[in-house]
Amino acid sequence: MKLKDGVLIQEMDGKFVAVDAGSGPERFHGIVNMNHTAAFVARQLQKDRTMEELVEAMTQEYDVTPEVARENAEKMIGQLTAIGLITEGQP
Amino acid sequence: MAKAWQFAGIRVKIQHLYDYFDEFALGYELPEGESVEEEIEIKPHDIEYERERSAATDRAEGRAPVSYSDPYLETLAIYRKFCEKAILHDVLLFHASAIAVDGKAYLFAAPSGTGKSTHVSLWRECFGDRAVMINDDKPLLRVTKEGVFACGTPWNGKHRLGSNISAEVAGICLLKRGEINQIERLRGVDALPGLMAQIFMPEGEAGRQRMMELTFQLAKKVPFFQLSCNMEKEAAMVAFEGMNGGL
Repeated sequence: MKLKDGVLIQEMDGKFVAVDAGSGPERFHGIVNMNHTAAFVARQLQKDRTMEELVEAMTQEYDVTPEVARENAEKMIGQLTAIGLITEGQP
Repeated sequence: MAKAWQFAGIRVKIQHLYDYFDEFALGYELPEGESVEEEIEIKPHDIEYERERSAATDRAEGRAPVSYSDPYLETLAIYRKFCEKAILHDVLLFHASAIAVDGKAYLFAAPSGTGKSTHVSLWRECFGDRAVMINDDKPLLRVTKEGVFACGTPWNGKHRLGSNISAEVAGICLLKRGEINQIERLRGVDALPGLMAQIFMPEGEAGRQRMMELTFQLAKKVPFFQLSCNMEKEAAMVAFEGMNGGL
């Protein structure tokens, strides 16, 4: 899975925001506020990633077990998918 | 006819259909023979496109549909095409009323009908000769390493208030109506939604990406404020003092 092309992530005032600068009618209009973990996941997904790759990246970045990393990653991906910022790809 | 013009430092040759534009944009023409960076050509379908857009805006804002003249619609078409190109020169169209006081620019943004122009008219009353209108409706913002500059353009609102000047932006104020006059500093991240709502969104993908990047830069570089104000002269003083660090 992968973040849609044109999605920009920016750190600002200690927070993270994402906007969809892509074209097309399914474009997300608005600004997504993210915490550090969500921004980390989103940035990882600027390249196409499998869940295994994502979990590995998270366990390297944060002091968490693979189980906790996977649980968090799934939650973030669920939210990003719900607002249409993620495209299908390898599961 | 195709004359060359300069808006926010961008030199552009414009091929258009109606004489009205020459009069509309008076004061922004380039001397004959100067080189240009961009060219724009207006075709009849561009004017039809603006007619449909204007009618849709009137409907969306609950106004009775107005019949706009072709020469007027052509000015809108020219600005749309210009702004689409300007973004790639780091110049954004920001829907706001911009006034310079003592050489620094103060900008007021709000949804249509909130009273930006009314508030800025209070500034002119308060500051007299110290104040110069940059643009009452659609100034251009040039985002540079040295800072952000508000630039006058002929597209300056129905009262045609503005001048061909540019001034460094001292602050941007998101304005809302209130009973009392109150101003507070906003963090860039909190100003972002209000800011984005008033910035011209290009159609092209590259332009859109650049517009977002510039908006982020803007939110980091410029001080933002939230002003709640009534229509008394005191509102201008509260805003001016607040935007000059008197918070």
